[in-house]
Amino acid sequence: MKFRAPIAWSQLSHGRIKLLLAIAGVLFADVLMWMQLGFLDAMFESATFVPQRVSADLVMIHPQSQALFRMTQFSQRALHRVPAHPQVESIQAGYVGICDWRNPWTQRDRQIFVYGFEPFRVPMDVPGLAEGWGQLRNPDVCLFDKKSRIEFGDVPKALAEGREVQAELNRRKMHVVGLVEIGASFAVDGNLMTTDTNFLRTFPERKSGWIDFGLIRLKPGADIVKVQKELQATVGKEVSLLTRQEFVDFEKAYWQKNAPIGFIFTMGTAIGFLVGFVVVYQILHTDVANHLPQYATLKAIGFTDGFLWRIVLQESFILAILGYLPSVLFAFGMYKVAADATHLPLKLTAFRAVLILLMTVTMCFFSGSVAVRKLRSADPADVF
Amino acid sequence: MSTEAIAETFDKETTTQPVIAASGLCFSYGTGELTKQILFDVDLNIMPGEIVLLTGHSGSGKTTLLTLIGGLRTLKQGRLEVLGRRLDGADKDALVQVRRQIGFIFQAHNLLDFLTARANVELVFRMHPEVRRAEVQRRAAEMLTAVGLGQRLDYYPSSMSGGQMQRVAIARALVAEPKLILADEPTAALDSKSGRDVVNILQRLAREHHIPILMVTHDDRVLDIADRIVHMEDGRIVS
Repeated sequence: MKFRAPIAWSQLSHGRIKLLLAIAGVLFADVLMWMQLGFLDAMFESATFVPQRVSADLVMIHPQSQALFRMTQFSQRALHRVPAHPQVESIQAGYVGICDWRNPWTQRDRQIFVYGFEPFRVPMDVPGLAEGWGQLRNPDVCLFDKKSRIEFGDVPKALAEGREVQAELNRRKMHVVGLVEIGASFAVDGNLMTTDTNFLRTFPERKSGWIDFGLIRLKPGADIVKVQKELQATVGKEVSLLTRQEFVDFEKAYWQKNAPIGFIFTMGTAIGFLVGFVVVYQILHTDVANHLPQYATLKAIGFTDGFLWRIVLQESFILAILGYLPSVLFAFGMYKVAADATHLPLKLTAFRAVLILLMTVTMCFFSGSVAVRKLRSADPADVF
Repeated sequence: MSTEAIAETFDKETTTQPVIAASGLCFSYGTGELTKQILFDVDLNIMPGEIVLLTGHSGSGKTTLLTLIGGLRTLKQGRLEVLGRRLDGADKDALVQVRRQIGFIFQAHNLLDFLTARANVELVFRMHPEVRRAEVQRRAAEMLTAVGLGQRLDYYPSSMSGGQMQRVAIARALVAEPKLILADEPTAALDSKSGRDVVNILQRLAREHHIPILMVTHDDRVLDIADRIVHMEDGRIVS
């Protein structure tokens, strides 16, 4: 074909209201998909924020641990057997726990997540931790996650104004001496970082030496997988040794399989897809039905079915693009609002933009393919 | 050679080969006990350049005959040749190929309401991609001017009268230089003046381009354009 008069566009744009409705339908479906997929990713992103950033080549956990906030303790004797391996550079024991934090301004309790590590080394690569780590050697001090939910009190503002922040943590006084950046997740609303000593003072019921995980760093150039196998053979089956990626996957798997939330967001995305499909199908079907005599005429004068199908499919493609483009702007705004409200890491990624574009095109293509079936009832012999 | 001699040779050549040659056409709708036979042993020949009107009461089978000739229905019994192609036993693609050489004019104009008069006419060339865009535009405009709509090229069907829309439909039927025109009561929905205009335009263009016309009509007011009138009754040609 040497030229291409935009028949599909002429047909779509002839009825302004019809066109706007169809675009609104696609837009709605897309915004739903953006939000659901956004939250789904934010769920994984927030849950794996710490596992991704621990300064360790191997992580030791108890095999019955389910997730970072559902760890089973084990004796650190297992961890202390590790340095005998020539490739191991250092080990570091870590504790985690959940306890009440009393907001110093409102006196209201809220559960906060506390990390306690042996102090000789910065245990993870999160913003602010390296700077503040040295101050944790004093008793009853901690670093506060400035991306914790606001219900814990506006600690960052108080610190910025030079005020001393002291809160009750598990009914003990605790001084905040600095800030780190971790962020809330679906499991925890806020985080504190401190040393093992301070941790054990805060959680008197926890026994010293029964740790939640151990960080193992290897010498430069060590073959991580090989060392992992050798160490696993040394320590036996009472503990598991994970590479950092396996540690991330371990956390992810919990949210994927054991928590219903992942399913809910996937479902929400599917519903968005379905809503868009139905709306676009309705619009295209009505459009075809209203033009049946004309389509039959075109068939009568020699146009093929394929020609007419292409018009309808082109219409569905145009709708997909016209609905998708504004949805990106919507998503941008709504991610900002939702991220401010939930402190979850909602980010508009290129990957998701492409994914949703493909889903939109597929959705509209399905609608178009079902709507063109109506074209079969355009019988050219009925025109006379 | 004299003009007369040329005309004679021309006549000889063309009269030897009918545009439509039908013999023994039978057609029925439905199956089994519900079968209703519509056409009985119909013979019909139409020569190049001929304008033939097909008259008869409703139900006499004239529209069915037209749809068979136009390749819009498959023939089950009888022999039918249109524009040199056998239609009895022809497959779907062959029927489409024949239809592309025919200019159809329907009782309802069935223009696409979302395209302008010009775009409706230009649309036909989507079946002839070898024609360049500039020529498509020129020929569509010329044809619309020939049917008296040169001032209304960019009007949408909704802002035209019935007669004007039917004239657009004529332009659409003629623009790709068909070798045969099939028309089904093109004046039925029009008042007498517009109806007359439409038929006059059709006759003039057919004569100019030497295109044969087979037209089904009820309309006594337009019988004078015909070279020949074929009358049908109860599925048979009676005169």
